[in-house]
Amino acid sequence: MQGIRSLSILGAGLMAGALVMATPAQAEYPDPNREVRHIMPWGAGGGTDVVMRGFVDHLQRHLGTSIYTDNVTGGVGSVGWMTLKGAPPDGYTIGTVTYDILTVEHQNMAPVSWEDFEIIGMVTEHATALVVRAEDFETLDDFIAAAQDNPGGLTVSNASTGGVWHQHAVAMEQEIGLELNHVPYESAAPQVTSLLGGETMAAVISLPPVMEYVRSGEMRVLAVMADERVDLVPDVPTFTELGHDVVYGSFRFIAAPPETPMEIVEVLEQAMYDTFQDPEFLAWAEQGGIGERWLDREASIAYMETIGPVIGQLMVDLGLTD
Amino acid sequence: MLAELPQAIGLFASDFRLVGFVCLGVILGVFVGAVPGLTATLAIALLLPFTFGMPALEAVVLMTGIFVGGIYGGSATAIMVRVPGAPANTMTMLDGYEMLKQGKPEVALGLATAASVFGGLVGGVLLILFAPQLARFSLQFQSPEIFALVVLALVAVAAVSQESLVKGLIATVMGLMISTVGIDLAGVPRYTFDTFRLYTGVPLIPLVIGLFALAEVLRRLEEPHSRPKQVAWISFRKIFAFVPVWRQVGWKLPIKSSLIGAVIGALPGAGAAMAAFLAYAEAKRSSPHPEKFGTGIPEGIVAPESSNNAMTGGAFIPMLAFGIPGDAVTAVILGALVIQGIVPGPQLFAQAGDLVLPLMVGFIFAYLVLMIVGLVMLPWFARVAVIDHAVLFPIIAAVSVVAAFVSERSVFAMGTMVAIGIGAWLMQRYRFSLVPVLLGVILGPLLERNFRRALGISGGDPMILVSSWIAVILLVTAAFMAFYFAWVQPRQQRRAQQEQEAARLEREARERQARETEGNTP
Repeated sequence: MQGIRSLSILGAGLMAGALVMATPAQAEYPDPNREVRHIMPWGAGGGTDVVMRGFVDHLQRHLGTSIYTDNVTGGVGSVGWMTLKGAPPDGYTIGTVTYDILTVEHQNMAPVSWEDFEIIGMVTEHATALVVRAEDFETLDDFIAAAQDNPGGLTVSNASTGGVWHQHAVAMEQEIGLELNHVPYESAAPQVTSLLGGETMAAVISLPPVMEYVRSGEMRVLAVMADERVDLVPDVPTFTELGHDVVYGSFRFIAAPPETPMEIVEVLEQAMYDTFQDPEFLAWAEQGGIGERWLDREASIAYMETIGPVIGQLMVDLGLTD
Repeated sequence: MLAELPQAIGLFASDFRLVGFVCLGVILGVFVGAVPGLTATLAIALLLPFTFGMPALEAVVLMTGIFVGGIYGGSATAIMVRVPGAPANTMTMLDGYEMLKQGKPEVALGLATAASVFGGLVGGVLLILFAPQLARFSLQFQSPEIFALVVLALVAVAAVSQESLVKGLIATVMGLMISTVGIDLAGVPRYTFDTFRLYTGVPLIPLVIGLFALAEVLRRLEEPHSRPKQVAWISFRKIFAFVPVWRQVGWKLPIKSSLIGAVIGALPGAGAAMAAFLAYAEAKRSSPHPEKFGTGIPEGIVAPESSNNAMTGGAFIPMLAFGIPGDAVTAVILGALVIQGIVPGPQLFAQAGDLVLPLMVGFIFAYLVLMIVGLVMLPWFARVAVIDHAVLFPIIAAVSVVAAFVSERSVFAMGTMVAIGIGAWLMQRYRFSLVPVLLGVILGPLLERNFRRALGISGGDPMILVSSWIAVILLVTAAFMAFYFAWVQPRQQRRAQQEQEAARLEREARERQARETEGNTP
């Protein structure tokens, strides 16, 4: 009796051991028996988290091995990117890189830069939106009037101090000439909860996390910071249409740790390309309004080289650098 | 939400993998629960790194099964060898072992099983009924209220899981301090000593494994190696012997005890041991024959076992509604949920059909499995206690190291686990409890974030922290609790001790006098 019990525990121990022994994978990449860890620098249930979890769900079919998402959050994303930077470059760790990698870089928050990573390709490029509770404001002008009546009193949520939504909120504030109270949360999920509960009056945020409440009539998108109207909310005007020069957006890439071998990078890039040809993924992306956009490795690097200094200058203009 | 219930049950009925994972979880849970020193927390912590790749629901029902089985498993050893498998089973031991001595172990085990299942089902029904309501209510919980709730949870954990409030608070603060390591919410590195690895903070899973697995192994090393005891054997034919006894006890006591358990579970920090103790005390108080408690009466088993199992359902309520765990096990399950991309709160219930309802159905299903497993395997369970520790604990140590490595695939995580394990072992030697440390680590960021955010919204005015009735009530409750455990309870204990002492002295004096008079009479 006792022998059997001990044996069964021993068995469990051996199984666990076997999992680790499999680590020095001589098997060729991608080894279908090994899971790929996807480092997500933003909180579970937030905008980036939901979109990128969905993307890797489709990506894993084309890569031929399963991918799990690990939320490593904090410090405007820098905690996750530091983790990605230190991860083994064997193709079994990938990560999501967003707009705020530039924030971290320009504010010298952590010794990490987008150039450290092997960028695989772009997934989304999406507009920033100003969202309120439907009962509070009808139009952007209502919002502006309320903010002017109560300088510094109107609360606007963002997903981290100095981060992308904070930058765009400050840019909007300065362009229109308002004074707002910026309240940082950890990700879009608590931003949405706080808006529903009335702790904050407005959110600067991407569209997917709020769409459920926009459709149910609880929330309203006042305006989007895009250069033209967004398909997901065709009735919502852009800031430009309303006479304010506020055009901002964000983006998301998949990247691998520094010094990941080129043949692995190419396999990943091909899998991403295949995903973007997959009608099932495209249908999912359109339905969720994620703002999908494919750029391969080379084009992605060129994109970052162009936009990097632009955002750096924006942060200087907004007074958000050290 | 209840309209989607049949759909969730259907999902369960049609998926054999889910059913399999629940069964596996329950059996594993009963096993670790029955081995003294092994707990459900430890089992879940060790298993966590291996569940990353599993679908969310499967991972969560597996852990739920372990939680459920773990609470029950300890009652078997409490009754059969007078060693509670977990602190929650201490009260069961009192009457259970007496019943064994009277030659009725099958009745005691049967009652424990039936009471556990009954309590668990009551807890599960309350969970399904109340969690969605509470989640809607949780929108009222903004930064100041969450701050207050976390303060209450931390005080409660510090006070309850410890004989001394001061030691509990020290352990809590240690947890809070560990949680400050890493990059803070404004991007400033704290206590990282320019070590790259510490930028991401102290990793949670190695921490949990160190606290609950390695520390226990080290503690066992200090104890002298004892040969396993022999355990009585029970015939399969007697497994329903408890039924007439249960009828005699009636339904009022298990219902009352279950309600006590569920409420205790919903309060942050109290835990299963507290639930069992309070239900036992209440059963004794309201009994027509309180003096019989402790002599092997069925009420002494039914009350604590139904209560500590109802606690499990209750503990899920604040965890799912607010993301604030009620005890160590739900704290670890919360970590697992977040790894799976699931955020507790009102939004979780908005898509209830996908996850929350199946989880709750899985919870109830786990108790049905427990009933069958409990009754069929009843004669075998108690024998788990005779497993040789010299075999068991080295295996646990090895699995701890492997699991810590797998969690991050890094040697740093392994080292962290060992360091935390040694620290935790030292703390235990000086009679500090480890649960407050874990809750401190988990709740620390929540405390800090909501405090800073509340002050940000008010422009630095601290009055925002007491700006709503909810926050005021929570903070006053926390203050009252701290006061009670710091002043009132120690005094009561001291007075009770003094009275005992006085009674002893008096008795001795009387005896001496009696002896003297005896000596004087010729």
